[in-house]
Amino acid sequence: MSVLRAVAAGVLLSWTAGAWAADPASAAYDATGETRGSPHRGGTLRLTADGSAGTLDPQINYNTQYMQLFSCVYDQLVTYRKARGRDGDTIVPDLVEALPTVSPDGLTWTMRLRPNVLFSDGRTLRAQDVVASFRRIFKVGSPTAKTYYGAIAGADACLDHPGTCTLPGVEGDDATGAITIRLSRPDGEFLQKLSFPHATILPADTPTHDLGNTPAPTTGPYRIVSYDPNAGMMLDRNPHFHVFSAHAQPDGFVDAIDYRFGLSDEAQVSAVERGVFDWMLDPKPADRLGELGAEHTAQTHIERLFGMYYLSMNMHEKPFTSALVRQAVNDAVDRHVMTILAGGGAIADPLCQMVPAGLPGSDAPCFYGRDASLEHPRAAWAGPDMARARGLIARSGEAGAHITLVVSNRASELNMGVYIRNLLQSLGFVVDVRPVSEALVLSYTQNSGNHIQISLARWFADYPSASNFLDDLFGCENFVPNSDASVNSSGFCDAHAQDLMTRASLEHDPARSAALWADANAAIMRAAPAAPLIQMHLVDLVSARLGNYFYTDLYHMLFSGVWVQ
Amino acid sequence: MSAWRALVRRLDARIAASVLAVMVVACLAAPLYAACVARTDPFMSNIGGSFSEHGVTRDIMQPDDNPLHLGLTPIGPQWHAQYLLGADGQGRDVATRVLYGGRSSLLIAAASAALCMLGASILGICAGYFGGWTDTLISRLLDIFWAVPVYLFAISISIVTISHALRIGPFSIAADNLLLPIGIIATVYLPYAARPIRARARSIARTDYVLAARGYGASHSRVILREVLPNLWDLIVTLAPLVIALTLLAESALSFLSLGVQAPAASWGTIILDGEGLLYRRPAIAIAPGIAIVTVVLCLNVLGDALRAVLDPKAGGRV
Repeated sequence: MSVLRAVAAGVLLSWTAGAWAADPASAAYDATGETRGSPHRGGTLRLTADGSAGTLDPQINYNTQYMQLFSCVYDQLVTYRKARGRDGDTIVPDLVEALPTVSPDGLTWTMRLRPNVLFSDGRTLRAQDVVASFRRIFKVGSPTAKTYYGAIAGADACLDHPGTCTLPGVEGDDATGAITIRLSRPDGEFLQKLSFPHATILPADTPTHDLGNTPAPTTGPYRIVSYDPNAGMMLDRNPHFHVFSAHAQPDGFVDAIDYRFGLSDEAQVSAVERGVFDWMLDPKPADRLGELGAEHTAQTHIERLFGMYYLSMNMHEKPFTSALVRQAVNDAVDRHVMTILAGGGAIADPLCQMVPAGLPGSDAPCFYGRDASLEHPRAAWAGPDMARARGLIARSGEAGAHITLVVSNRASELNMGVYIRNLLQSLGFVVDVRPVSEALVLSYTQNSGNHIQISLARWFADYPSASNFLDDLFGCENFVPNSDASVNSSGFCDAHAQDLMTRASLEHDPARSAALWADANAAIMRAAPAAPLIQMHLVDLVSARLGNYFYTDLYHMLFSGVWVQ
Repeated sequence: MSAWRALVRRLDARIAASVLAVMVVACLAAPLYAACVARTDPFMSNIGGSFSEHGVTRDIMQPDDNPLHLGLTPIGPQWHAQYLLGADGQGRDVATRVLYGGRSSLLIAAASAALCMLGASILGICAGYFGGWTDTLISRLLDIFWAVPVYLFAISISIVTISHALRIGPFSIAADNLLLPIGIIATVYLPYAARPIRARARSIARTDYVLAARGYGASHSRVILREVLPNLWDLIVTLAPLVIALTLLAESALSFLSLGVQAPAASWGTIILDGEGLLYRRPAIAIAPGIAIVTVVLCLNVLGDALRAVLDPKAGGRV
């Protein structure tokens, strides 16, 4: 699927190259992606967030906050096109001249580096930098080393002994710029994984440990010049940057980016409204949404987001060992109420299966709620069915069980937790809500040693694929007992569903792949290891002076694409 | 009886006691109000619910009127039986929750103050009456307690006990048991009440009538119960309302920080927390319990000062 799509994208790329200036998806850049000569070039973009997001190491940091920033700082071999709307879901060549050529067996990927790409320290990008960067993924223990890059030949040895990793599967020739990546097994989504920020290309001599607060040389239009995790970060223009791909890495409008940390979400809203900052990171407080919609309509943007809230039910902890209980929760939960708690229908949509709308495989039927059943599913969720839910609980014999619901201690999620607690109580359980710090809740709920029964979770796509939701959250290999990195927190492992997911990820035909993902989605939802709740939209608030608001599905607001003068 | 008559004659005391009595009775009648007037369950979410007003059905969560259709806000004060003070973020009746919250807040404040006064009396009398090593030991212990900021102390104990419940040998107190905040608050205010009691007991222990009683061979317990305690009673009665006011404030603060009363129960502190996220749009949610706290604390302070003026003639002009 990915290869065909990628080839098609390559053809599209060359076809559309001449029409760049007229492309509404990328309006405001000229045909070359340059901003020189634009009256909007210059100024400082001022950003604010509640806190920093840890390390500056692009191969380690797994936080959306910095991945958004890194999109205009670092580059990969290929990347998602920096364009608005659906165009932004297309992979284009970044540091390589064209999309990789893939052998018929899908195991050998060849590509050629663009000439004359410079790092921000003045050095030229070489093939050896690519080889070293892929080795470094394993040497620094990147969180996706196994899941995304484990198919590269020699990756198993690197995972076992990172210190001596040679990764023979990645080879490069400095003279020709040729790059060859050999896989030990086919991976239908390897192209998407190559575009992920953890596959950022860094100079070959970059230390093989977490860079922490020290920025690495960059190839994008900006470089990080100072960073204090407790105060803020400054970026200025990369003096050696030139536009090598208008689609992959266009130039930036602003001369500098000043990112400040420490304001609460309420204070961030007020500061952006007053023009003290140009953009805020954190979710907008529920009590300010009406004000934003009424008084700052032009500054408020509601955008598509491949993200969702769901209830993860641990199939190894009572009472959720019973499929009847899990199905009852799916029947009982009022997804309309969840949209209200999230801020209303403009921000969230009810979700009855585990893949957000807009992704392949999201058209699975809804088995739960009013007028739906496992035998006669509906196309869409129609409302809760409390009577059937109570009947299922009665049949399960688990009524009266004690349940602890774990939620993040963020205000919006505490509110959701209160509703879910009431819901479970009305089904006959004795329920406690345990709020856990936002920073810890993910690892805490993933560790089976903590015996979490049920938790309110949210999940976002790394790239636009159903595998990010189905394989990540319900794949057998992603359940690791007693580990903080066990993404499959419900402990679901079903041979039939796993087979469908494996076939879907290897399928090259997009239509057949989407059908397989939909089948896997349905197989998972029949077993109900989770209760999908809502699909989220992103609400962005920008200052009155910020122009050319530029949003992409993957990178969200593109800092290089907006202007402030 | 003369002190009681003097107290009743004071206008400020009469007003404070009346307001306090009305609030206590209203809070005690919360279940009646919920069942017969508001007709609502104050502990169940009602986000997708609606209510009827003059035959017109309205959603409890109202969409905000803006071009982007962003946000929903719970209904504001309706000034009639249902949703008198509006709804909170979970669609629950704020007025009913304030009354239920008052039951928890007042119960915890009164019980922790009683426990505090009992402990303080025992420690203060022992230290003041016996003196010597007993006094040194108890006084230094109270000094250590005194040295730690009271809220920091309360938060520290609460985090440990609320997070993991309290287990002492075979006994276990669940995290949502009201005994936990009662015990915590009583402990942190112990030195504040014990110190003045110890000082008074120490001076009483040196009086002629106590020395005479000891000289006649009376036991320590008899002297304490017959001679010391009766002369301390006015101090304890004067301190009690002030300690209740302090414990009420502490309870509200801890509950506001999610370290006191645990959901699904409510207290005035937890209701203020519920209203924090809606402060701009529905300030009544946070203001109503805030006014209740201020009113009770004010009444208790006025009552405490009146009691002191009546029972301690030297302090007559301090109100």
